[in-house]
Amino acid sequence: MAAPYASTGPARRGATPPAAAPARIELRNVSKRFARPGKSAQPLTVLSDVSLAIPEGTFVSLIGASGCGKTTMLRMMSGLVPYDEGSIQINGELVRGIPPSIGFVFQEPALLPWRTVRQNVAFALQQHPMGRRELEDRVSEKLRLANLQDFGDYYPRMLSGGMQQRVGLARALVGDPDVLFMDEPLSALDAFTRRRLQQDIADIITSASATTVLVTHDVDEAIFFSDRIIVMGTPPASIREVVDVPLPRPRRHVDLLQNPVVAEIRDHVLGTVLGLA
Amino acid sequence: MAVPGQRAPSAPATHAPAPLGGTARAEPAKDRPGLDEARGTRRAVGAFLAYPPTLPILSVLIFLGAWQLVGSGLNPILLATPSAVAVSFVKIVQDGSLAPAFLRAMEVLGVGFGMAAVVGIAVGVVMGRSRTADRVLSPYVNFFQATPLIALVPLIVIWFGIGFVAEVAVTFLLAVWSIIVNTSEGVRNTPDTLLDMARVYHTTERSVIRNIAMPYAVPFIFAGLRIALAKALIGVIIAEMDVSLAGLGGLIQNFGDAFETAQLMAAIITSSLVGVIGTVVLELLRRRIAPWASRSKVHTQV
Repeated sequence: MAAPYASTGPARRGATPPAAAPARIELRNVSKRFARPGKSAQPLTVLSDVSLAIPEGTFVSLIGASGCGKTTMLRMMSGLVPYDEGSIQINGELVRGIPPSIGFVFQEPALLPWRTVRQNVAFALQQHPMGRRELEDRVSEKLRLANLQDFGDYYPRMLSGGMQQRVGLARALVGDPDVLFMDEPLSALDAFTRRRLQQDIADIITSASATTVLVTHDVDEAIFFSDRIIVMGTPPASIREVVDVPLPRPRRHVDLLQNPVVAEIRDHVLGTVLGLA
Repeated sequence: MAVPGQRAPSAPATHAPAPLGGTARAEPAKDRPGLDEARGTRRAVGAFLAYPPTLPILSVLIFLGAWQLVGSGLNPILLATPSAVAVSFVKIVQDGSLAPAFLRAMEVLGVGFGMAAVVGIAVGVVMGRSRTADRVLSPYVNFFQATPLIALVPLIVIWFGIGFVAEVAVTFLLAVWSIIVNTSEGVRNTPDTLLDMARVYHTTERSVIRNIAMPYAVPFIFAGLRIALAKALIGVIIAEMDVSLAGLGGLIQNFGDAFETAQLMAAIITSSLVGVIGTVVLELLRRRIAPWASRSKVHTQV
C-alpha cells in the first residue's frame, strides 16, 4: 500500500486542515417526520418545531427518555439525516449533507477491524491533503492525548471497549473539527470504565476547544460534561427545558459529589425528564 | 484496563478430584499388576483415538480395505479394486497420458475461474453498493442462478466452436454467479455505523469500496469463491467431456467408453485432486490477504 492516505478524490469544501474554530450551531423551527409502515399510516412526527442556539465553544447535552428523538436531532445537525422543515446552520452555513469540519463519536466504536489503531485514526484525515510526515505527527499527537500512544500498532480487537471508544474519540478529533458530536459514546461501558472515561474525555475536549454536542440518557453524565443541558420531551418531541450548569469546566467527579448545585440540577432535570416537574 | 495480548496462564486441562474424606476410596491393589497394565493399554488406545487425524485416516483405511475385499469378488468392469486403480494410476502417469490432461484441466480452470473471480467480484461490489445497479442486474443473476447451466453448453459450442475458448466459457459461466451473489451480499451487509463514519469524514465512494466495503465482504467473497470453484471444476470436466473430448474430461469419457474402469477411476480421482489443490490455494490466499476474516461467521449462498 503506497501512500494509503493520499487524497485521490476531488478537493472538497474544508479540505484544508482547519485551525480549530469553535462553531455556533443554530436550529430554527426544525421538524422531522418518519414514514410509518402500512399504507394508511400517517408519518410519525419525531421532532416538531424545534429551535435552539448553541454558542461557540460550549458543551451541550441532549437528554431525554429513549425514543424522544435526541439521536435524530444530533444526526440532523451533523448532516447524516435530512430534516423536513426549518433550518439548521453551523457558523451561518446551512447544513445540507455533512458539514466540512465535524467529528463524530458513535455509540459503537465504529473502528475498521482490518486497520491498526493508528490507521483507524488516520482514516479521518483521508480528505485532508497533507504530507506523510505531518499526518503521522497529527495522529501521534491525538493518540497521546487519548493516552493510546503505546497502542498505535494494535488492532481494535486487541483493545478493551473503553480503549476502543478512546480510539474513536482520537479519530473524531484528529481533523481538529469545529464541532464534535457524540452519540451516547459511553453507554456500552461498565460503570467504572465509564466514570474514568468521562474524566478522560472532559480533559481531552477542553484542550480541543470544539463546540460539542452530546446525546446521553445519563443525567450525571450530562451534568458532569455540560455548560447547558437540553431536556427533551416525548415524541413528537420538542425542547422541554434548557438547564444551565454554572460550574467551570473541565470538572472532576470528586468535586461534584458533594456539590449542592449539582444535586439541585440533577433533581430538577430528572423530574423534567420523568414529567414530574 | 486489560493489557492486550496477555492471557492468564491456562489452568491444567484436568484436575484430579480430591478424594472426599481422604481415604474413602481404596488404593488400587498393588498385587494385581495385570489390571494396571490393562488400564494403561486402554488409556493409550483412548489417547490414540482422541488424536484428531486418527479417526479420519482409520475410516479411510477401513473403507479401502472393504472396497478391496468386495471388489475382488466382482467383475473388474463393474468395480475396480483400490489396488487396480493404483496400478492404473501409475500406468497412465508412465505412458504420459495423465500429465498433459491434468495440466490442460488446470489451465482451463485457472483461466475460466480467474475470469469469473474478477468479473464476479466487480459486478458483486457494484450491485452491493448501488441499489439501482442491483435492481437492473438482479433479474439476470436470478435467471442464471436458476438455470441448469449445463443446458447452455450446446449454445456455447454454437458461439465459440470446439476448443479451449468454449471450455473456458463454460467454466466461467458456471462459476461467476455464486461469486456475484455472495460478494454483493457481503458488501450490502457492511454495518451502517461504518458507512456513517465514512460519510462523516467525507470519504469518497472509491475509498469506501476499497477500505470498508470490500474488506468487510472478504469472508463472503471467499465463501462465494469456494462454491464457485466446485462449480467451475464441474464446468471444466463437462466441457472437456462434451465439447472437445480433451484433457481430463476427455480421458474420463474415453476410459468410460472403453470400459477401462480402473483407469477411469484413476482419472476421476485426479480430477478431485484438481479441486483439492484449488481449495487449498484459495485458503492460503485468504489467510494471506485477510487474516482477520474468520470463515465461520458467514452465511453463504450457493
